[in-house]
Amino acid sequence: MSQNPETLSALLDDEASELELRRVLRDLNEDDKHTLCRWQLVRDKMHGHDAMPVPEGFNATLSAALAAEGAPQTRAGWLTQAGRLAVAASVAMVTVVGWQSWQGADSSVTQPMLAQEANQSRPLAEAAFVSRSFLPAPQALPAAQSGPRMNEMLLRHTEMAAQYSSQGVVPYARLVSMDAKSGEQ
Amino acid sequence: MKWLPQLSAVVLGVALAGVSPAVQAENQAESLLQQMTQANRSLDFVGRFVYQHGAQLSTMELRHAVIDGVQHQRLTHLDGPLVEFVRRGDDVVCLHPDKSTTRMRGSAIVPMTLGERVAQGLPDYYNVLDDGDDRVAGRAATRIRVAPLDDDRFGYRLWLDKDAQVLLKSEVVDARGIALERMEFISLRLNPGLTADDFVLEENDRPERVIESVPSQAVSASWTMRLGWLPKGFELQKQEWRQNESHGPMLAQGYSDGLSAFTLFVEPAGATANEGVSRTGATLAMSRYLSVDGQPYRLSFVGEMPQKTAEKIIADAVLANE
Repeated sequence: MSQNPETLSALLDDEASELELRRVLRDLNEDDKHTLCRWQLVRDKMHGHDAMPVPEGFNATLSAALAAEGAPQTRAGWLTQAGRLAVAASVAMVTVVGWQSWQGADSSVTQPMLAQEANQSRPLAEAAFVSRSFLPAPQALPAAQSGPRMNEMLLRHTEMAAQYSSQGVVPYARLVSMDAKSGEQ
Repeated sequence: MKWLPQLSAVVLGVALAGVSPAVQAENQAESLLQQMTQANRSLDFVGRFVYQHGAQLSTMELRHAVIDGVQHQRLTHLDGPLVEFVRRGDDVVCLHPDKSTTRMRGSAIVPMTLGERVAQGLPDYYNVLDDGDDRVAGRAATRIRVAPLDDDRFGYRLWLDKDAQVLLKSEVVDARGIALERMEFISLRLNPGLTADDFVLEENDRPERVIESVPSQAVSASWTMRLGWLPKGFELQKQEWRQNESHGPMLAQGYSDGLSAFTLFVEPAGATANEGVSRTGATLAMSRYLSVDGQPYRLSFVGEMPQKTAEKIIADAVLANE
């Protein structure tokens, strides 16, 4: 049985109480949905918004399409979230690397290690924007790139930063601390 | 409205004096900064400090002395694996956790240019303010706030020793004012009588790697890089080439606005090189591929900068073969 138009109107105007809202949503029938849809459209037009009625079953179609794509297999929960952020920040073309992967230390760098590393590198305050990967997993580095553990780029950046920024000993502290932490793993 | 008379008094004072107290405070803070850069290089001291970045905490000892006119500096990691960093003039050696070492040649510190830069450049990009008195490592300190005037760089909070002008504590803060990294002395001893022996690493037979810059004619391939966009005030400070047997040639360009710094690296990319982004404390590392005439290159950004800034810089970088 269709619901009282006033109840529907209250729902649309966000004036229904929490309890009422649940009851109305539970008891909505097809006629009620059409009525709500029509009113919403009218309201949008009156407010000058561009509007079009959402095709029936849109939600179901969308869910089905998402399910069909399947969830990426190599991604942990936090990564997915971070991935979304990063995609929004339009850096979709990067893979996950920790310090380790480009310091070229181990040829046995594996996905969990990298994920862990990236996770650890998240500072207290700011989420690390680790982004979605084009590749299924970061690739192990060839033996030719192996060398001393020290990340050469970090070392050289430290040198330049110490020379040209006014940060005193801090650039060196960064370097030494990161080197020590990499040695613990 | 108790503050109103005070406010009008200030306004009147400003009008009469022609110089706002804020401007005076700023000038004073800037001259303190200059003294700090001098003190950090000319004094003899031993101190211990904590360094925190992200969730990581390290304790270190710093020795600093000028011996026969040559700057000596030794940084020792006190907890976990032994890592050391020793500078004797332009000779720099880093001892790694696996006892191997990396030596860097030709990395002389340029003494005065920095202080001059601070004096000339900083006010355009940062608001430098005296933020009152504090105490660090049992010593009286002046707190200085360095707030960026745009969102392209981080801000700093610095604590300078009132007597010796040494940097006692520093924080790198993001746009929300949250500290991304922190260095704080817990003890400091001036003039401890250090000698050259205090700056000698223990001998060992582990391999030493040497990083040396070479003239651009000496590298096997060369290219140029042009940046379409740089944050205001950042200038190319140094460009150098390195030739490495396993990696091939690598170009490094260091940029700074006098306080913040980042370095860009360009190298021919192997088939398996990763693109990626990673942040540790305030330090961001980001790399991506660029293709020039079908040749893959990897461009890497390392620096203490916001990620958005790094993305913008990298996005507008153009490489060209020579």
